[in-house]
Formats: sequence, C-alpha cells, structure tokens
Amino acid sequence: MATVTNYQNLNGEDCVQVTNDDGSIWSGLKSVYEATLAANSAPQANSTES
Amino acid sequence: MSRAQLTSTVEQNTGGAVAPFVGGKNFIINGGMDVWQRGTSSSSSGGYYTADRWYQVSGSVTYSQETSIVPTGFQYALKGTTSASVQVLYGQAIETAHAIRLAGQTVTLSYYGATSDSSSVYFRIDYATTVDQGISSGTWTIINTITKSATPTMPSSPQQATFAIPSNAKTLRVFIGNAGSQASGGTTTITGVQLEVGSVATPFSRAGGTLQGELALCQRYLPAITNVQSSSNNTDSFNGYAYQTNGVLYSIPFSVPARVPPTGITLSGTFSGYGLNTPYTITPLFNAATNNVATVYASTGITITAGQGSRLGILGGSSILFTGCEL
Repeated sequence: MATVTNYQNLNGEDCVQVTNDDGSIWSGLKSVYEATLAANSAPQANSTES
Repeated sequence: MSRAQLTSTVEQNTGGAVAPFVGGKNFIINGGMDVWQRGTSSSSSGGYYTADRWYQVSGSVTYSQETSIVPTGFQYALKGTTSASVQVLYGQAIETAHAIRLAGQTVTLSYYGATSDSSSVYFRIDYATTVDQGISSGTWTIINTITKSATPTMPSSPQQATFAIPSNAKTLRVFIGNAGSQASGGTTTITGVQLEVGSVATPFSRAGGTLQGELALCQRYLPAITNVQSSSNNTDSFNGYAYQTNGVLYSIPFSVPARVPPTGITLSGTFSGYGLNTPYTITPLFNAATNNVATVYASTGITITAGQGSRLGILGGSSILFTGCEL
C-alpha cells in the first residue's frame, strides 16, 4: 500500500509525495495525482503519465 | 503510392542508392526497443513502465526486456507474459506534430512478433481529430484491425498491415500484440516496430536514425537523469543553494527539451545533499518545471546555512525520471 504525504512546493502549489511498495518515490502536483486516481482504480505512483 | 515512395522502397529493399537506415522514416519511437529508462520489467498496466514510449495496456501481464527471442539485427524485444487468460497489447500514441504528416496517406505498420502458442498477432491504428490526444483518454475512432499469423520464434521478415489514414486525423495511436487472449504463462514478444508512408514495409530504421537520436526522441517524453555507474562514489552532480537554513534547492536542466513541462519526479536509489563538503542523504521533492529545466528541493535531512551553495549528488545506480510528458 503506497504511502501518500501532502506538501506545498516553494510556489505554494499543492503537491504529494507517494512512496510505493517497491521503494520508489514519486512526488509532484496533487492535481495530477488526483486525476490519476480518478482514472485508475488501483493506481501506482509512477502511473501518473497515463 | 507515389513514384518517389516506390523508388525509395525499391532502392531500400535492394540496398541501392537510398541508405537502408533512414532517420525520420519510421513514425514509431523506440520501435527497436533500444531505450528502457524506466526499467526492464514490470507487472503494472495502464501506463508506461518499461520500454520507453510503449504503453502497457493489459493487466495480468508481466512486461519485460527480451534478449533471446529476437530477430537477426536486433538486441532487444518487449515481451508480455500472461498470468491469466488475457490479450497482451502494447500501445503508442503519435503526437500531432508528427501524426499530421500521415493525414490522408496510405501507411504500413510492420513489426516482428512471436507468440508462444502460435496465436496471431494484432495490428490496429486509431485516430483522433483533437490535437495531442492522450492515449488513454478522449474520443478515438478505429481505422482498422488486422491479424497476421505468428509462431513461437521470430519471423525472418516482419509481419505487416496497411492502413488508410483519414485526412482529418490529428493524433494517432497504434496497438499491437496478440490478436486474442492467451492462457496464463503465454508470451507475446515484439520488436522492430515501424510505421511508414506507403503500402510496403521497408527495412526497419530507428525513428531517430541512430541510438543517440532514438534516446533524444524518447527523452522528449521522459526527461531522465540515470547514473549507470556501479560505484556510489561516482555521482552525477547538480548545483543549488540553501534557500533557507536546512533547506536546499537544485536546478536540473534537461538534455532534450520536454514535449510539455513535467508534473512530477520518480526517484530510485540514493541522493546526497552537500552542505559545504559534508554529504547528507536527502529525498528530493518535485518543486516546479518548464520544458527545459526542473527544480527539486529538500527541507529535511541536511544541515546547512541559508545562502550557502550546495550540490545534489545522484549516486551510482540511482535515477530521477521527470514524469508527465507522455501523451
């Protein structure tokens, strides 16, 4: 189960850090992550390109 | 087919005046499976996880780099191994700046495909009338689907199918793989994928002409810093400064401008932030990006005074992928 942590980047934009089961870490814009969640019922952090 | 196209085809097939390896002829990027910036094996689907630019469509499939079942002249292939009864499919979207050149044209899609159960391989091209439509979203229309016979070994010449691209096509997507479901444990292996103008498949060429050209094309969709050194002492370094006490900000320029600004980063491995000469292990976070450069930062794990210079070290075997640039 991926671990998700919210943060704001230095521009004040909402972002998330996602730690995957395989140890890889994705961080980026929260809006992109949420769009991925909406499109994929079982998202992986590094699937945010789809 | 025009006379120029026919002449080109004949000359290429006979090894005549036109060189057989021609950059720009092939509209499929990484068709020879040369570039694997994300890794060489993954069971994930609905995204990009292994060979660059190849969208892994099907779930219950392990996608991996194949080096044995490859045709002469190729080092790698992309293999899908099923863990349930499922159709193995790979996809690639072609952005409008490239796809528009194919509008109204007859094109040929060819590739080398092998299936462990001798089931047929699949050719399909869809088009969208919207600019740069994402591969898994929006409205797409199927132009045609075609199947061709295959065997467990690679054919000596590629399977091929011809399509007529509508004149109003703005974005194209290609799906290839198995024509039907394969039982658990089945494999579908592909390489040498080429989409070209004309009704005849000519010898495979990398879209970028050379290995470096192909890597550059891939990095337009996935900027990446990958340190292939085996020793942790050999670090890739990027300059930055302490934007606040114990907070560091680094700039990472891209080797190739991205198609669109990345929206995130994927880290793998170990990263050091240097305060004066003391290295601290840090986990960089995505800050912001344009199509030319990204900034990453860390505000925990490092001891440094505001205003000091700092250096980000990407240790041997580690990588940063800049995501969000694919179609």
